[in-house]
Amino acid sequence: MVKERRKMSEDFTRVDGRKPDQLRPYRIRAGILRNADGSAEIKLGKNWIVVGVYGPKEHFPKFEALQDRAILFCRYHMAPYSTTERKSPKPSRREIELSKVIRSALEQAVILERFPEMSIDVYIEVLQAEGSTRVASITAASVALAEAGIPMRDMVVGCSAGKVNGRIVLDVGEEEDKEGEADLPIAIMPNLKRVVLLQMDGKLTHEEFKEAFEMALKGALELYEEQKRALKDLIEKMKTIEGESNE
Amino acid sequence: MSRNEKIVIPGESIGNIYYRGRDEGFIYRIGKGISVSTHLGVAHISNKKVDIIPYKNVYTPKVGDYIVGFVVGYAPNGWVLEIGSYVKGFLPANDVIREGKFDPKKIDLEKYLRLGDLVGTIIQDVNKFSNVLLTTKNIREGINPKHLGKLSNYFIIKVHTTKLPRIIGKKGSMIKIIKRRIDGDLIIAQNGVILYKGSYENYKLLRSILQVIIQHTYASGLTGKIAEMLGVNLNELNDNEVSGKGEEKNE
Repeated sequence: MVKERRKMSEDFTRVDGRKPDQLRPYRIRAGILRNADGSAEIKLGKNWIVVGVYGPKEHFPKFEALQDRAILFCRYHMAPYSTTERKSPKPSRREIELSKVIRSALEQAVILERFPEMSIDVYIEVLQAEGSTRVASITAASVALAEAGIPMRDMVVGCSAGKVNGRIVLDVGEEEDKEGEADLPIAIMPNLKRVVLLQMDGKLTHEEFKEAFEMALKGALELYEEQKRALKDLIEKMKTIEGESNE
Repeated sequence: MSRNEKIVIPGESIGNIYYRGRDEGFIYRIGKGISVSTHLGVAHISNKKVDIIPYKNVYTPKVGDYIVGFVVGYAPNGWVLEIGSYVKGFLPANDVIREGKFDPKKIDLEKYLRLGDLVGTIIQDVNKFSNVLLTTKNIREGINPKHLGKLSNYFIIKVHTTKLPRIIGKKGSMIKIIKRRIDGDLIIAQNGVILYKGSYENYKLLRSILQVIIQHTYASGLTGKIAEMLGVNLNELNDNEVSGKGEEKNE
C-alpha cells in the first residue's frame, strides 16, 4: 500500500488519483431541513456536513445581548461516528476552536447591525469527516444563512491547499493531511475580494505559500459557482407550474 | 424570464443603480456606485432602478401594519404577543379594556385575553430597539373592526411574508379569484398569518391553493392557473370589480 502510494506520487498523482489542482467531487444542496429557518448540506469527497440556521431571535440571557448588533452563535460538532475511531460527543478543544474561527469568518459577511439585541444560531454537524472540514463547513454555513433570508454582504466560501511530498496540492484530504508537510485553509468573500480566514499548519517557503494561496483561491472560486447553483436552483424550481396537474 | 429579471444571491452585483424596492433592506452599497444584493431572490432591473423580491425574509414590524399574534405572556399592564417576527409585541390593557379606567389591582387580565388567544392588532409604534407597541383600536382606515381584538374559531395558515404579495396579486387579482370560489371570512395579516372561518372543505381547498402559490412563487401565469383550478372565469371577474380591504393592500 505504502509502496503503491509512493509510486503514484512520483507520477504527480495523489493518493486518491487526483491531479494536484483538482478538487474532490462536490455537491451542495440548500433547504434540506424542514424545521430550520435555513439549511444546507455539502458533500466534498467523503465529507458530509449538514448546517442548520435558526433566527434571528431574542438573545438569552438578556444581559449578554449587544445593543447595536446581533450575536452570531456557531457550533461546530463532529458526530461520534464521523471518524474511523469513535469520537466522544463532548465538545473537544479542537471543536471549540473551529466554532470560533468559523464564527469570525461568517461574522464579517452577515449584516448583524440590522438586528440589535438578537442572536442568530448556526449549527454545523459533521456526519462524515475526511479532511478540510472547517472550510467545507464555512461554505455550507454561508449557503444556509442565505437560504434563511438573513442579510449578507457577500457569500463566504472556503478551500484549502497544502504541501504533500514536496508538492503543492489543492483540497487536502485526510490521509494527505496526516502525512503532508503543510496545510493552508482559507475562506474568502469573492465579490468583496476579502480574506476572512487564513490559517497555516506546517512549514512553507514564501514562494510555496504564494502558490498554495493562489491554488486555494482558484478552488474557492470553483466552489462559489456551486454555491450559486445550489441557491439559484431553489428559485428555478418555483418558476415552472408544470407537473402540477395532479392537484 | 424576461430580460430585465435576474436571480441574485447575496453579494451579487446589481450594477450602478439606486433603489426603489419594497423595503430598504435588500441592497448593500460597496462603494463607487456599485450595489450588491443582500438576499437570495429575483431582481427586476429597469432603467437604473431595481426591485428585489426575496426568496425568504425576516419579517420586520412596521408602523401601521395589520398583524395577527397570539398571547404568550402577561405584563402588569398588558399582554406580550408573539407576532411572527424576531421581536415580541406588547399590547397595553387600556386598549382592550374599554369600560372605565384600568386598575391592575382590581382587574384580572385573564378575563379578557388568555395565553394562546389569537389577537388581531395594528402596530402603533416601533422604537429603535425594535420594541413593538400594538393596539386593537382602529387607528387606520380600511380595516374591518371585526378583525381587531380577540379572534376565535379560525383556521390558521402560516406563510412566509415574502409570499404575501403573490397571494394577494396585482391590485388584489389573486385574492379576488380565491374569494370568488371560497366564501367565508378570510383574513390576511401582514406578518404572514392567514385566518379562515368557513367550512372544512373550503379550508382544505384554500390550503392546497396556497401550497401551489408558495411552491411556484416566481412562475408566470400563476393567476390563470389558480383560476383554472378553482373554476373561475377571469373575464367575468374583471367586469365585477370588488374593492380590496385595507389589510390586503400589502404592497
